[in-house]
Amino acid sequence: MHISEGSLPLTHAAAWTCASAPFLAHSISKLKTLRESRYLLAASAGYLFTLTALKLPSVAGSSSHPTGVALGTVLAGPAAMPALSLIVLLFQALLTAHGGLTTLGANVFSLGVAGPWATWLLWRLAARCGLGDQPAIILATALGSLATYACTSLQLALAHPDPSGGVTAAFLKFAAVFSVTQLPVATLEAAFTVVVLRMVVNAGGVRIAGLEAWAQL
Amino acid sequence: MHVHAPLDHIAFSSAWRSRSPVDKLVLGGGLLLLASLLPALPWSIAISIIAATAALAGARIPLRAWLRFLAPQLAFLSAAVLPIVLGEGWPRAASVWIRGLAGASCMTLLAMTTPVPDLLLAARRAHVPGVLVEMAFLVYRLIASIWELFERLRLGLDLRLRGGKPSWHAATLSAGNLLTRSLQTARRLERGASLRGLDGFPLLAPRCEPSRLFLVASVALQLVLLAAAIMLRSRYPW
Repeated sequence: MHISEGSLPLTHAAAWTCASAPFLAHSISKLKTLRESRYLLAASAGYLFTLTALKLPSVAGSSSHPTGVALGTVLAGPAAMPALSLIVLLFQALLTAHGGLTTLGANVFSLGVAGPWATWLLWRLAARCGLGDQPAIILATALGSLATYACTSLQLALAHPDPSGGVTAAFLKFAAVFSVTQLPVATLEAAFTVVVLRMVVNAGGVRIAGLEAWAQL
Repeated sequence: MHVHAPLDHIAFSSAWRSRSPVDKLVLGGGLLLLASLLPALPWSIAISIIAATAALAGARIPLRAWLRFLAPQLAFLSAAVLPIVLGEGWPRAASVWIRGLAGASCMTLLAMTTPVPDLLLAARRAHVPGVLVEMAFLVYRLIASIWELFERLRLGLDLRLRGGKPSWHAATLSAGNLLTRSLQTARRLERGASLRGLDGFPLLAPRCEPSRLFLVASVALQLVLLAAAIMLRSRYPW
């Protein structure tokens, strides 16, 4: 995640911004309906900012870190995630010089759209298949985190295709380099999400979209 | 690791603090756009020099602070272009690196001269959806509290472990503790605002009018760069 400034051609940056736009529009309208929970949503976004600030350098102007996607999806719901991701990514660019402004659209797409929806759909699918709550969360978090990185790999592969193997070869190359840091991070993040969610649920007093469904842990 | 304070502190104390965010957005954003549009060589180098000059001479940002924030971005870029060196060779890798340098310089210029509340106020005046601006301001307000909590939890962990490395379990429990306390802080903030009769958070930042001279100079500089790039197109192809 976090494709840095200058790493994407302007046309790619614009295209990813256009791709994120409808999700953002939907997300903003969702935030209006969640107005009662805005302080808690803001706290969740602030927490994600802190979590994703723990970064490791990686390929082609990007970095690896716990995505916090699953946690954010549970706390805010997948529909609210694009807007919250936009805010978190903007602050990371302006407060920590991490990420970028022209690459904001691409980063919102991977962190705010691809990751949360993959996590949400996988969790629902795992629950329907009769997997227990905790294995379902672990599976959805780990694969959702990897989906975020797969999306980033695709974005980078489209921008920097391999001279001989094209986009597919470049995608595999970027994904392979990411996997060195991201496979362990995704595995740890899955267990981390379960522990943190348990603590939040046990602390009580929180009613946010998505969280109540997980309260049966 | 510093997260919240330094860049914003520098922005609050820069010589361009009282300048309108519109001025700085036109200069920084325009240069950023040109850095993405024009060929890396020689234009990205020119843009990097212009951004650094504007920050150091114009906004009087200390050189040490400028380098402190630019250096990690360049370290990331250097690590990042390695696969491109192996795949597409040095010229392409150098081009990506130099373009990244220009982009990072423009972004740092904007971040070091424009405090976040000023930008949010400008966003509200530019009719960015109010719910998004309000949420962004709340997040900005809470990041400071969360980071303070994080530092306290880390200090507590360090003291308990006497400087030793925490286990994964201990680190995760601290992270969970941080989230629950962050949510409690948000609830207290909400209750406080509600008791004071506030619906949301007021954005308090001085209103600064854009300077016509600054805007004209910024746009003229960018047009000169663009014209030069078009004129020298045969020598430095796009």
